[in-house]
Amino acid sequence: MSIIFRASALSAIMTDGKGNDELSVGAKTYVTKLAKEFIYGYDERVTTKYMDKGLRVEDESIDLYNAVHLSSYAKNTERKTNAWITGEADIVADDRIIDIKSSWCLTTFYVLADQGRDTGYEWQLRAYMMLWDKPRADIAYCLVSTPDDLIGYESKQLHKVDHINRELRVTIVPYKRDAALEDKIKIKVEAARVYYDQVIQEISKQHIY
Amino acid sequence: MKIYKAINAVQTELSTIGITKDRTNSQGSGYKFRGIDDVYNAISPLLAKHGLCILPRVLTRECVERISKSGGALFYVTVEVEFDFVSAEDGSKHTVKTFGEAMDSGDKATNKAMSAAYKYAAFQAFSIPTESDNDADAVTHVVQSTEATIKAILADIAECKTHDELKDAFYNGIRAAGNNPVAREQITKAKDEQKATIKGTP
Repeated sequence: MSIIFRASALSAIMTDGKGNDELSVGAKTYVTKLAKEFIYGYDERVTTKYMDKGLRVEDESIDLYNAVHLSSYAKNTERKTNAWITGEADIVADDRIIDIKSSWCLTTFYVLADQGRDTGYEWQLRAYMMLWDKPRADIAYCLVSTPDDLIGYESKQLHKVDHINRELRVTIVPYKRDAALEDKIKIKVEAARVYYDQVIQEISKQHIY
Repeated sequence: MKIYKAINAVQTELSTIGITKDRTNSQGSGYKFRGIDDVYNAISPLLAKHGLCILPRVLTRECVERISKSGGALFYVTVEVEFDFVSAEDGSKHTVKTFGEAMDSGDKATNKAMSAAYKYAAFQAFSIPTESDNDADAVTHVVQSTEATIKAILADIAECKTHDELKDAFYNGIRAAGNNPVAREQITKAKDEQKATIKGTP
């Protein structure tokens, strides 16, 4: 069975190598890590305080987004998978996907859409558009207060943000669906699969077990 | 293992003096209770005398925001605390775990909850004689019923004349509703209805 890539990790294999369809050195390192995890039976995904905040304030960020837009979106809980990728989008609206990114603090919060046009997130959103067949996907950077126990020794001024106007605490970065870029996803996933199989064979060859 | 000898020595003295309920709850039903100061005053000289240390360690803290009867914010905190009872003589220890709950409208809910956890750890570890089980904080907070809270939120939403007012009322409403799906649905429906009556785009 061929490996399916998670939408949130897709950016790791999307950078170009020497040829456009080849995997970059970084992508090969990532695929090697996946092969090693498979053979040795572990999952290296780590959680950071930034991810922890994202999970803990997710509902509050969705409430903030809904209040700013007077919308009524609820968290999507459906995971979709196609022949190449799998993912669980935050919000699935009629006309778009909305992915909520809760910023760590005021310093890391993007106030302009151009600042937040992160390529890693872009591939994640392209994967969601592909999986849900939507013409548009938005990243919604939301700034809500950090839970006390996560702030540590950082300045509370950067983390306690409830006093700031709600409209100023949501930044939208829109992406339009692009068939050519989706084809690129398919090509990269196929290349990553070939490399993944090679690495597994190589590990097996070098370790008799 | 001198820890049990020390605990027993404190127990022995407390069994004769006890801790009287000489405080009266000033709100609510006016019941008598033992305050945290009473507990400290009674046991701290005994702890010193018998070489016993009580060292707290908070394991978890949960804070829920509620609305008081008068409409203000009320913080309801629950803490899970372990207390190491340690013998100063040989370092042997016994751990007691209790939970503490408290409500406060300001920044004292956690302190109060920790005091409650300590009080009950001491009562139970030393078997301090009590007259009844009616022991609580000096202040009684009355929490509005969920139904009344939702009614108030829906009334606020229905009175909104502008999109900005509606955004405020809607946000405060869904945050107050927390994870209550029925309340969230009612508030969202009210928001959509009110939104349709307000001219212009949000």
